[in-house]
Amino acid sequence: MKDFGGPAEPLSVSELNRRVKRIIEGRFPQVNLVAETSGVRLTPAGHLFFSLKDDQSEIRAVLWKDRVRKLTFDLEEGLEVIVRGALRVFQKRGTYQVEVQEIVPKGIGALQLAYKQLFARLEREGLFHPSQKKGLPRFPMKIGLVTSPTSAAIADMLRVLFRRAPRLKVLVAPVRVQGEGAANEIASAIRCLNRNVAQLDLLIVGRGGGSPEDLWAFNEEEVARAIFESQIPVVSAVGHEIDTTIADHVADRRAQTPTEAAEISVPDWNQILSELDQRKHSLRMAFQGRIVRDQDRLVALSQHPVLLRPLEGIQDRVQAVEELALDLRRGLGLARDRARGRLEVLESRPVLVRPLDGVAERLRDLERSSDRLNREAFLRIEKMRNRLEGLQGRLESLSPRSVIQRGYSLTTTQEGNVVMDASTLEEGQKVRTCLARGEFESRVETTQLSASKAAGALSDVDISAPGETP
Amino acid sequence: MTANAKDESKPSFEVSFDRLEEIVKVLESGQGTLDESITLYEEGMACLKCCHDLLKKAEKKIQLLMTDEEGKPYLQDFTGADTSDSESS
Repeated sequence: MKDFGGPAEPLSVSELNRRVKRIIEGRFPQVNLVAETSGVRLTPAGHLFFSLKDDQSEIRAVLWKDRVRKLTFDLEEGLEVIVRGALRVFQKRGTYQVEVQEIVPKGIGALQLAYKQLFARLEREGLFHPSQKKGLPRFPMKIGLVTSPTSAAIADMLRVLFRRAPRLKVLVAPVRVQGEGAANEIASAIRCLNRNVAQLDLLIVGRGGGSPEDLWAFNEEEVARAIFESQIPVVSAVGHEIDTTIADHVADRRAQTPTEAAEISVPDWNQILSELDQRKHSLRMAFQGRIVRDQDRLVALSQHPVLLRPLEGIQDRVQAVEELALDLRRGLGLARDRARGRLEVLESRPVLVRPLDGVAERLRDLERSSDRLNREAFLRIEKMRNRLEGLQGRLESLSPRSVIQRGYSLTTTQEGNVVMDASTLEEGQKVRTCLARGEFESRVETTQLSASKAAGALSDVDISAPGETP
Repeated sequence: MTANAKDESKPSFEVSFDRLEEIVKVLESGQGTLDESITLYEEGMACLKCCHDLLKKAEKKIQLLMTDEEGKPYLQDFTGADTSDSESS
């Protein structure tokens, strides 16, 4: 145990920490480290707490808030940095950390990194998007300049502006364009000009050339936001052609130099005035042209025969009417004459002269016809009567009765049917037989079928008239 | 700056300038009645006058936007910087 003891008296923790603090802080008043940031945390008070580490070890670090404010870039997680600081022992807890006095990104300038970081962030937010750009007015009458009032740049701009637009109104918002607070002044001026009742048509924000540090204010977020929020279109004009700042990206139009900004901001009024004169001339010519055309048409119309000899047409028509009247009259006369002629022909016809002649003749004709008709009718009736008598004689000679008179008889069944075939009779059947004189009933005893032709022939004879049979 | 408010009711130079061009085009096309042409011509002349009036009224002026101790802005005529002096260029 004594081996560990050293001084015989044991130490309090406080005393030990105090001695460690004295030794460490005395031994490491200044450290320069290459490390990677980790666990970056911004406290509500505005201090930055983080770790510095390599692949094997790490150490706590702190950046107090007054230094945080001066930090140009964002202290991101995993950033390769070079740190200058001092070791501090936190006596109460027995811990130690690096109190950072200066921290810069490794391998890249702090401003360059800051620019990259801000650019990426604003681009993500859409501040550079073409759809956000306002068009410049064609004929600005009042322009605001946000720049240093004592620079060569403002002199250049005013010279060009008034050369092109001699009657321009310019409102200068004087600002510092570099150094501490410059960005804030520029942003405030842009906002102030936007509120100004002068109602500016356009703002030019810029400065002449300088080192990247000189131009730095135009890379700050505050300026970028003020330009973005401006209701008045903004032309940026920072430094020379090679310099491109965040302000240039946010502005509605970027000019490479202040002189160019003046040129693109206002039109050349001499040109506008001559254009205006040209339009005045065109207006007169166009109107006069119109009047002349109308006059030409009027003259052309006044040369028209109708206007030159207005009665000519009327006379023509009078004549035409008279000719028509003549024609009409002539036509009427002809029609009347023709009608009269036809009437005379009609009047001379016999039927009209002796109207009853024809009738008497017709009556005579009619009587003659009637006599002839009567005579013919009488003859025809006589003839028919004779024929009828002849037919009657023939008809009587055919009567069964006249056949019976000649000795034949006629036998009938009780139903009155003439018996012509013995096979139709049955034994014991009653039949009636008519004779020339009287008749008798008898009963069939036997029947005998005879195919005798004589019987058939006899029947035939029976029907035919005896006189006419050969 | 009160005159500015009055300007609002009047068409801007741009509007008059463009309208004038439009009128010239219509007249040159020869369309419309004589009455319409006369009306257009008169309107064109009015546009011309408006443009010239706006230009006549405009005058060269440079002012500085200053702020007083209370931070209130005020305008002050600017005389410097017409001749070149140099700063950080």
